[in-house]
Amino acid sequence: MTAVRAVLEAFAVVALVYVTALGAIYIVFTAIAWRSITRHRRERAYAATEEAFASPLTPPVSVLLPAYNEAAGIVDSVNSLLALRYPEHEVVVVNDGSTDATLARLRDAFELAPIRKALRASVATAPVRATYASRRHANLWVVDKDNGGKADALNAGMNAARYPYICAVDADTMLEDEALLRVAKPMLDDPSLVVATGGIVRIANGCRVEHGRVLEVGLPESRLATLQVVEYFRAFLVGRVGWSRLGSLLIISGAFGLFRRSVVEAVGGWWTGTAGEDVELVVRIHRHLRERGEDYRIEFVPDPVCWTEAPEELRMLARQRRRWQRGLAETLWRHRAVVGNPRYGVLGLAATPYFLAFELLGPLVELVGYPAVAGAVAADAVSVAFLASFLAVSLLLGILLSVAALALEEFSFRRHSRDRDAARLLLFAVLDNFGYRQLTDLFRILAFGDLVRRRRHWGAMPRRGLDRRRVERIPTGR
Amino acid sequence: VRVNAAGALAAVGDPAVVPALLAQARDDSFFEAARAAAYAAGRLDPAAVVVASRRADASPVLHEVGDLLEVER
Repeated sequence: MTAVRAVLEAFAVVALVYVTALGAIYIVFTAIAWRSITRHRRERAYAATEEAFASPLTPPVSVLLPAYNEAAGIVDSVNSLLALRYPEHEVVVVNDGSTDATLARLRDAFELAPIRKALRASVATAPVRATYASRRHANLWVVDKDNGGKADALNAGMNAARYPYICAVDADTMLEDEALLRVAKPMLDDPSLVVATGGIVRIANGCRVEHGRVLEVGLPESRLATLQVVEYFRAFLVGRVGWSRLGSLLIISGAFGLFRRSVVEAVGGWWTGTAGEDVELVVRIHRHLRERGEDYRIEFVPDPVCWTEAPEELRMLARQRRRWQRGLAETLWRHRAVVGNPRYGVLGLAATPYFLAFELLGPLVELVGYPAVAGAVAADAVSVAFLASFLAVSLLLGILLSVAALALEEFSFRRHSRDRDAARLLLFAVLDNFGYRQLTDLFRILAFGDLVRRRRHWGAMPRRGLDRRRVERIPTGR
Repeated sequence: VRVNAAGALAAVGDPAVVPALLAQARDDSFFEAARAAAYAAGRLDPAAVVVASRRADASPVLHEVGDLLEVER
């Protein structure tokens, strides 16, 4: 009995130390994010996008759009990308062996003509069946290939890309008109150093959407989707801004990321062996450049907005989170030599250990921590005051951090301008810590089972559709 | 340098450089330089590029630009 009590006590102490450390890290990141975003907004006032739009130095960009069974929304998606405000860009749609009418819709809408497009052999991909150019838009290309998955489609798009920078986007996302200009700004400011940038992803459920454009920002009716709105604020405005400032941003969302093409080619393109090709690519770029001792920067830019649809069903949310967690696990395993290795600087000593200890293993520790602390109290191994401390740190700190992220959004970007929406977000920032966070932890734990079973597929994601006129099945972006 | 030179030659607009650009588009082993040459030649003398793209020894970049020019006609 004494041994059981000792184990429970030890577990309870570890759990308390763990959640305290996580909270402390997030407090530091919130402070960094406030400072960074405040400065970013001040600089933005002087460096308007007009400057980037007019500059002959703004690099031309190839926007890569992998599409698998996207017939319902592909035309809107392509139209929104063609309409991006940018001095020179092309759109390369990669039809990844769709079994629906994706290619036919593209052919009809954009008057595609078969062209023997010259493709680089930078990265091997599944066979390309045909390439097309549009008679209506000189900057639109379509690559039709055998199915090989999203990473393979991106590689095929990169092989077809004409320009030195490539922007990967998901077919179910919508970019704001100036999103590309804003995300490219760091490359314009410092072209020799900046090799990749990512923009913020926001949830479009509840927004008024027409023809692939968000006309009015609103909150979802679904409570599950609203919880994700708050969660995205915390992840993007705090987590990514913080890691970006520390020079160790590990995740550039697959939904919206801009890369120097030569760097992606040098590391071998997107890896097809993972469900998290976005995070894996960024870690590989960090590793490649640090091993060569090159100066570089990978930046997160908080204001170029990419809108995406969040799952409104638990089953779909579970599938999405399991896939993300699986991708993170596969990435950390593939790059395990980096974790804790001082050779990689902040990446090795802080970023990868953080992702291992808190993002990958965090759900396990937190979910085991609750019953362990309760058990320790019941067995009289720790005091009730200890339990109160644990709950205070775990829940109150969680609430504080969610509210801080929301406040950061409200005081900086305030995209949800209605007071009623702000009040609802505040309520959900509190509720987020009572059930939702633990539920997503549970989904993430299930990913370990997927890894053991070596489950690789993406899984279909039935959608209600952002534009309520369309209903489709699409894979989501991180 | 070859990529930028091809663009500059197209901007200058002297058709006398077309044979050299076509040769570069056909033979240059550096993909970007070959493609830049093919596009530059296409701007200066579209008909010559279409003819060159139909030859048996035409490179992929000449196929691309030749096909594009035919579609645009």
